[in-house]
Amino acid sequence: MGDMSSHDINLRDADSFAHLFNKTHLQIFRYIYGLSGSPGHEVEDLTAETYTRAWKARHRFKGGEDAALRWLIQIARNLVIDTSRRSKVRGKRESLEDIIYHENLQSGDLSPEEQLTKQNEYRTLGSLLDKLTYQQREMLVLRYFLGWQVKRIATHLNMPDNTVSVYLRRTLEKLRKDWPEY
Amino acid sequence: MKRSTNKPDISQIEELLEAIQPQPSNDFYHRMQSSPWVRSKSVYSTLSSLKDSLLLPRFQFAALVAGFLFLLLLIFGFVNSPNFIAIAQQIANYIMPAQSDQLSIPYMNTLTISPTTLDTHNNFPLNLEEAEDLTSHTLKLIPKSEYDLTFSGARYDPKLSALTLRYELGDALILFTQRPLGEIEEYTSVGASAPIVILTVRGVDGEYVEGGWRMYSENENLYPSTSPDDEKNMGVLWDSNLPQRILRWKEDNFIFELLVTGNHELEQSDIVKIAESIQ
Repeated sequence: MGDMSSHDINLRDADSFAHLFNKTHLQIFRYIYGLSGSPGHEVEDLTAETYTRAWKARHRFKGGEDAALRWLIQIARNLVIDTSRRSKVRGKRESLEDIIYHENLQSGDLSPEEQLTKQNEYRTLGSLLDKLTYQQREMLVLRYFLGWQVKRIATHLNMPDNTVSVYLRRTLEKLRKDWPEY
Repeated sequence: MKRSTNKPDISQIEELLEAIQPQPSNDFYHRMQSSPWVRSKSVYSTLSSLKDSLLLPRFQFAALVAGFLFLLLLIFGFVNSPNFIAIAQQIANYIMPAQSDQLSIPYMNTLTISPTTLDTHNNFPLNLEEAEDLTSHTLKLIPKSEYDLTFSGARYDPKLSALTLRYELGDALILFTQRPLGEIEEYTSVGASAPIVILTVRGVDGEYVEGGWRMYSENENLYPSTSPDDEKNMGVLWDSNLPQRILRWKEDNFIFELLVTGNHELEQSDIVKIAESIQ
């Protein structure tokens, strides 16, 4: 969403908020999906909760659409971390391995053999993503699930561009290094 | 994805990552139809469908709408009255933005509220036992953690039943206040432009702000006043660059506040970590 306006938006107004929801909910959903490793219905709950919290706090928000997206991501991040902490206490946490595997089963026009290979790749990828730190996973999510450029990630995470590039590169190298040989 | 070895290369891993584009289900969209911003938005469409269902003549419907708008106006007037706003905001917020970034405070009041006056050892004459004796609840404390804070006194405000514990960390000062929720509501006032971050602390919503009020010099006066009373007042300006951090949250019928000031490099995550460690 690189074309988001930098003009201030008035989120007190329900129309503006609905517009923001329409424009950003897919990114927030994917962000939570990638970061949390929760099944679809829980990701939907967290996405809905993110917007409910934002709606309650909307009178304190000031900025343009880009700032609003960053603000929503911050709320989503806090929710994911909080939920993850509670899940750990309950000893219950889904693994990205299962989530990504199950949700990418339906690969339409592939042969059965190719489909099996794809499924194995997703299973492996999910398992490797699961072992990354929050920061590593968040960078991958922003870069690939949300399609953000390095500069935008750097601004969002308040880091130099170069640091983000290096972290991303190292994380990808780690994934490759840990990828099992069959 | 054809590959010569079993391991994908980095660009192939990137391709796999880019291909993960999950979508919410239809249930999600159905559910979001009843979200508060959609409900607020639908007042007009409700009126339109009301008109259709009642099949009222145009002038009767106009009268009905006018009556409804008048009622809304009355409610709006009430809701926007200063007293109502003050009460509502005190209930809803822990940290409240002031009307502007500049305030004029009478000297007498300044003496009682300024964080700089709190920043003296003499204002925290109580030890932990004495502090505990003054409160009717179990005292929450910041344990010796990785930050190695040193307790250096406490003070009790009987008016608010607020107990403030003073900790030192090098040149940093940390004031931890705990107060049972009661009839008197109070909040931390910050500048109108101060960004208040909503975050999760100890499993509940908290509010965090960086910066503080400081005395301003003549050329910084944003709103020069001609009032002859000014000599009795002290002007303060909100400065987001001051190394002061405030974190507030409500938990188990108590209001808690961590105020960090002085010479330090503590960031939001450190302060949340300190809050999480409180026992």
